[in-house]
Amino acid sequence: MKLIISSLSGQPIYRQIEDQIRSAILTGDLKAGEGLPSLRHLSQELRVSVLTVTRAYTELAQEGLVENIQGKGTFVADSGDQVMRQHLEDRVQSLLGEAVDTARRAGMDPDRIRGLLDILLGGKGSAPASEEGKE
Amino acid sequence: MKAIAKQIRLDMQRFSGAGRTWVGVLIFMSVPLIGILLNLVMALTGNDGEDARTALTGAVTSMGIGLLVGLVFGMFVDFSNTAIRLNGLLPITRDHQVFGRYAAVILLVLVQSCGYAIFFFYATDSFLHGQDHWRDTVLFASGLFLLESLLFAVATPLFYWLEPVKAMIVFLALLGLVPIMALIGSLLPLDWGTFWNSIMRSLTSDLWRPMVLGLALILAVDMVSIVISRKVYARKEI
Amino acid sequence: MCASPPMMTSVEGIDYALRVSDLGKSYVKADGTGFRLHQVTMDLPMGYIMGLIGPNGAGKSTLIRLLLNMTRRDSGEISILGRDPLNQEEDVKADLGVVFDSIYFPEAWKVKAVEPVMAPMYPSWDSDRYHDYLRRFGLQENRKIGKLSRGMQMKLMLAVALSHDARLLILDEPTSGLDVLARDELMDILLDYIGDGRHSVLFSTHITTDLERVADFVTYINRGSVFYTGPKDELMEAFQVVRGGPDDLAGAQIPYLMGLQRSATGFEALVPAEHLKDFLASASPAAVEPSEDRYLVERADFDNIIRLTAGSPAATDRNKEVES
Repeated sequence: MKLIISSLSGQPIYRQIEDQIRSAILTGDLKAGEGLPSLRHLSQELRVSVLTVTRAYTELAQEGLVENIQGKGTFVADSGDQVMRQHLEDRVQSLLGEAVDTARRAGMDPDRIRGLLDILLGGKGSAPASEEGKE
Repeated sequence: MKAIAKQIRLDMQRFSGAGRTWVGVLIFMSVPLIGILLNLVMALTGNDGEDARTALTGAVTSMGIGLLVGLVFGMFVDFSNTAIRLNGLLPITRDHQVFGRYAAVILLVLVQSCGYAIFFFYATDSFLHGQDHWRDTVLFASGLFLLESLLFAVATPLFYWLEPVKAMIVFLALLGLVPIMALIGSLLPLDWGTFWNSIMRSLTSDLWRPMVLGLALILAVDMVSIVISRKVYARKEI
Repeated sequence: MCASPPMMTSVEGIDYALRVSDLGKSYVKADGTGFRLHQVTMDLPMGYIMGLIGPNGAGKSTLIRLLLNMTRRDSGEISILGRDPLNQEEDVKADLGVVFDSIYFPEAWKVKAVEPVMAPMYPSWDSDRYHDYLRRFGLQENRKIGKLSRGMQMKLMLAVALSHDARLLILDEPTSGLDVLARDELMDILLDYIGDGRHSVLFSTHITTDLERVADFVTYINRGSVFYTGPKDELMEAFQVVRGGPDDLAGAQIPYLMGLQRSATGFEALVPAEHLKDFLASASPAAVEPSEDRYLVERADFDNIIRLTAGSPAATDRNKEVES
């Protein structure tokens, strides 16, 4: 598994780890049932604190993407990719909802909004939306 | 007990200054060895009169004491700089550090006294004008042991209390009192010669009385010294 | 507060490498000024790294000296690996590895004199491991300790500390004489050291970038008191640095900030994350949304936090700086 950590980006390190594991699950790089590196091993590899990795794993577990099995380690949940996809779809829906609201306030008509969306979709492929803070 | 043994080992290494105990022991044992050698040369060249031998014994003994005092004070040199912090991290309590240091010093003094016993046995026939050569040797070595033990009993609490340089100055000042006392004493209308002779005679008349007396004296003085050192060192910031 | 990590079975079941509660010490320094370490409380669970940060003279070294009984505490409790270092000093210290900011061996000794001295001190001294470290650090046995560079002296102390299976490493400013490479190497060694979850590290430093990645917990001491102790990530999320022009700070905003530095060109304020909204909202030409454009808001790193809080809670008496 590839993990790249930036210490300059404003994003907390645990969030970076979380995001990259999340997208690895989504793209299928990490398959259901596959084990994640142990906390302490990953902390050594990335040269970041154990608690930072712990936090990333804990949040992934709370989302249902991974499971922690006592004494064995952390594994990608069976339905990890489905949960992930569902999670992302929910997010896209809410972001689009926000975009539409803003567009209405700006007085844009539906065709204009669709047009913009087409431009965005045409410009890039599928953008893995996983940055920026909430709200 | 184990911790005290650790401290003794550590102090032996500090004493030798290089982490090799035998180097230090060899250095301070070299003096009586040189004395024996000189004595041999004197005998071969025929310059081994009574006066020459007495002078040799005096010179070699005082040199040996000086050397030992210097080396033992070397154990405290670390107290002046950051190296004292070693005492703070080693698994030896401060009490055990103090006990171990006294034990190490007594051990060194004992070893040196043995060295001097050999020197005295070979290099002096009748320094004390006694008939029993063995007994004289034992008395000489014990006398040396007594003298050095008392010196360290006075000096050690000073070193736990003050910085090494200051402690050394106070110690030398205390030593300086001895000739001053002697001077004052000589002014008193007393026949010191007969006085000392009678004391010496009573002390050397047999072997056991002076030995027991000396040991009791060392014990008593060291006890007081250890109590003071413990108290002082327990409060020291290291 | 901290999301209980899955590795820990239960809150009660946590083993602590170090627990300090209500520790107090006051003394008069050589220059006549007083110093007081006041009600220091902190916990380091087994298997983690804790950084001890704070400006010079804040009390980091005094705290470490108290842990080692190098100076007597006036009040409070200390427990190292479950034992009180006052009653069980020898057992406790056999399990400690210590690195100071400068060498604790006599400078006249050669490197090779160290092992015969230290090996008998520790029942579990591992000579092979020690020599591995000497080789790895490039320490030559025939060099005089006094002739070694500061970094090399630190490595010598580290080699000793790592060679007797110490359960807790206490490092007092170990990185001050090290270059970036050596600091990186040290961080690797520390992470490796705690890798099995049985070993822990307490590590004081003023070079906070080292800690920002590697430390699990942080204790920030300021003027003899604990400003924060807990998971590092929580401290790093607790504050934002807000920068703005000289006229952009209104009186109404002052209550929301923890520290402030002003200059001719602008100001820099440390704002607790939960007060950021209020802070921005109470800007003087009240404008909620646009005020974000006026200000540059960034995550606060340790240096920002220390710099902006070191003066005092409100940073008003910055001139009265605490010296070393």
